[in-house]
Amino acid sequence: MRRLPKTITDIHTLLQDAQQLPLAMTHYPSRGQSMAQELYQTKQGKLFLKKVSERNHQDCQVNPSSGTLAEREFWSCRLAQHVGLEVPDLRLLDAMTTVQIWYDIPDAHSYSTLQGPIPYQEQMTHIFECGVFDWITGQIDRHDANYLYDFMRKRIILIDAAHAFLRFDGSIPDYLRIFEVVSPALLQRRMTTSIIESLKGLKKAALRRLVPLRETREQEALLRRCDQVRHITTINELIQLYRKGS
Amino acid sequence: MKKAFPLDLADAFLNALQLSIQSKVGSIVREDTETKRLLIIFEERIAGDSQLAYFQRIVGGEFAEDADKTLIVDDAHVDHWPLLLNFLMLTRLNPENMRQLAADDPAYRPFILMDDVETSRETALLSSADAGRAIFQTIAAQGLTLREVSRRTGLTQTMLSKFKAGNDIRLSSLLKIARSLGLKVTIA
Repeated sequence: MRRLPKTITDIHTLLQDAQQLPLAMTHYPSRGQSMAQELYQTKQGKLFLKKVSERNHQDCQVNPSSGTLAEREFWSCRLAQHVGLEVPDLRLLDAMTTVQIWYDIPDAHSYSTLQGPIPYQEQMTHIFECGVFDWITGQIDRHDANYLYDFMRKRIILIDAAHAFLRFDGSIPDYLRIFEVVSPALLQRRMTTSIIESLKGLKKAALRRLVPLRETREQEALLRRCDQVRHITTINELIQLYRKGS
Repeated sequence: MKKAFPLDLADAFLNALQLSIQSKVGSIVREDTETKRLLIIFEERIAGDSQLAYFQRIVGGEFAEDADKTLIVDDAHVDHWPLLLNFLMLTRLNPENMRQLAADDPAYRPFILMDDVETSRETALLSSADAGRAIFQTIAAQGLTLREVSRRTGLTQTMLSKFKAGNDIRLSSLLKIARSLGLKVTIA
């Protein structure tokens, strides 16, 4: 299953007949996750539920009145789909709960530890687009366990966007950091990418509908970051943006 | 050489297994100090858990008659337990993942039990250096030492080391090495 059912009612119906699966956390070092997580096997595939709490917001210093962690993750998914970037399909069940498609593939950290280096240079355009997306969403925590590696299609998949759209700029993602080291010859290669074209065509009102942040400073930060990437055409320019910030 | 299940990897192994199956894993222990049997204990066993059934085929285990949540496994049935751990983490016993991994890396072929899986991958060898690279990548992937390859093939470790360093070897020697690694050499 790559797309969730169209309506929330259909999702609930799917979950009603589903079997809850144990999460592989008992024997795993703590991932620092304190939000409630549940995994379900449905007739169409696996679904992953995350429920955040007030405490989670306090711990992360995120103001839920501007957007809860769940809402931010949902808006991030919606924006990604609008600009043509594949992320696990995700829906908001309520203001504090998301449901998403579960991918049975390893994270990049696991893959590179167990199997070998990920060939980032073979997905240069995709790396650029992920980097642009992480910049505009203000991603602060894109370490290599926070993106998956689909070794069938040889591409990374971004996950975990709960802390998106804060007013602070993000930090350089691991995949860009690694790309910079292993593929210096490709850093200056100019690209025309669909994500930049989509962002150029995205008007303020449409962006507000996709990402309805309720705090002015966060709205302004998002607009600023979108403006900053519109003319970027190389991975080097993108990396410099992360380094220098606003 | 087969090695016993490394109990210091138990947590990681159970995590990988849990990611791959629907039933709830519990623990993995050695039956006693005398036997080479492992007990993989499940807290809950889900009927129709096809991934668990597949795992059972890989490890060649049987569920205890008097304790149907305990899978009894002969330690020696699996050649390389750490490799199996990797296999579980990477594929989650998803058939598409398994097919791709088998195609990418022959080291995982022993864990592929599906009839329709493409388990071969062709590598063009245009020079003895290409042959050396392919051979020693496979040796590394299978977790073998030069001593082990020497034992399997009857070739000296000195000869193998020289081959690894880029020297030529006889075709007959290359074929011996390939056969010992489960590889086939074809001329096209």
